[in-house]
Amino acid sequence: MSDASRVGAALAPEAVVAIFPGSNCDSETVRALTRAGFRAHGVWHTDLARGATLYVLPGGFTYGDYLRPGAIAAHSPALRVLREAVDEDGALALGICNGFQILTEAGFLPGSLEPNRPTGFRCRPVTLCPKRAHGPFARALGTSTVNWPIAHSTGRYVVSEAVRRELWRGGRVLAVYADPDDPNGSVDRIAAISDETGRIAGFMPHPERAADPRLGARDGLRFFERLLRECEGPQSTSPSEPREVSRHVG
Amino acid sequence: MSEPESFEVRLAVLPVQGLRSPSAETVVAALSDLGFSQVERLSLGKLFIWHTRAPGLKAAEAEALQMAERLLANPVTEEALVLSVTPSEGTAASPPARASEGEREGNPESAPPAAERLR
Repeated sequence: MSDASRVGAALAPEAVVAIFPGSNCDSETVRALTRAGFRAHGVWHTDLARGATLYVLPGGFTYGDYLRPGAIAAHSPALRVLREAVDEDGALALGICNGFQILTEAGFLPGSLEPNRPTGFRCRPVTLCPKRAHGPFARALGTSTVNWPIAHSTGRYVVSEAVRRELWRGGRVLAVYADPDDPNGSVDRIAAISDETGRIAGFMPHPERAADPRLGARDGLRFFERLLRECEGPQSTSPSEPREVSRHVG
Repeated sequence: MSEPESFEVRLAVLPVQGLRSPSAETVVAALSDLGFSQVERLSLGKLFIWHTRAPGLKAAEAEALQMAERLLANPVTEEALVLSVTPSEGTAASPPARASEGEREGNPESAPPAAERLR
């Protein structure tokens, strides 16, 4: 390795992808993050440690989806590490698909992901509309619609009426499925949310599957590239003002 | 403190009322196709059966509810009901005996407890 590349690698923010038994999107997530410029690597969930800038819980079927998707992984010691890294180190945490399910099961994000309505596994690109939201994930998502693939049978986001209102009021709904493109019956067609700080986010669609120019899909890569800039910039622990975005849906 | 006794606990986890359940709706439709068109408001959930040792029946029930709260049920979408807590003849450490009894009787619940199958 040349000196130049060593220096570059040392400066790049570290992104850690937690691997659980049954995770199956960890490799492409590491690849997408690396392509975007992160110093990314996968770590077995029991070995997860603080110190990274971004933690990603990837897609898959942790513990075979036994009991409920994400329910058993939510009790991994990795979630304790994640909590401390976010609260005390200012790290960011992103759950994708099964990772989103883990975050709701762990109570890091409100609500629950339930079986799709109509029933069935959906695996296809969807159009996502960013909403008026705050935080690094909202800024990384940008303001234009994006096309990311989904691949889930348990992605119907449900939440109590009170929390649903709180999510919208607090600028925590990051994106919704485009109007005629609702794949799972989620309340308000919600596809992605964040916690109240904006530092923890869950997405049902897969940005890492839209991050390879050879596949003609770059929307996910752009998201990770913008997220890299968020990680390189000054870390704010207080949520910024929700930003205005196109409001043609939702 | 009294000596721990062995209990069999049965706990049901069901969707909360009002939550639409695609799987339950599908089952209702399938039953209707088979001629059982009178079926409505079907609830489809999970049944957990396990053996445990506890100081008494109330303690075993309390433990079951804690387990439901922490892992077995999702408080957002599910509710847990302790169906029964009964003294078990064997010990908690001997589920195979329970299973073989079930097999002799042709009991469909004779499979090992869920926790054992997950290992």
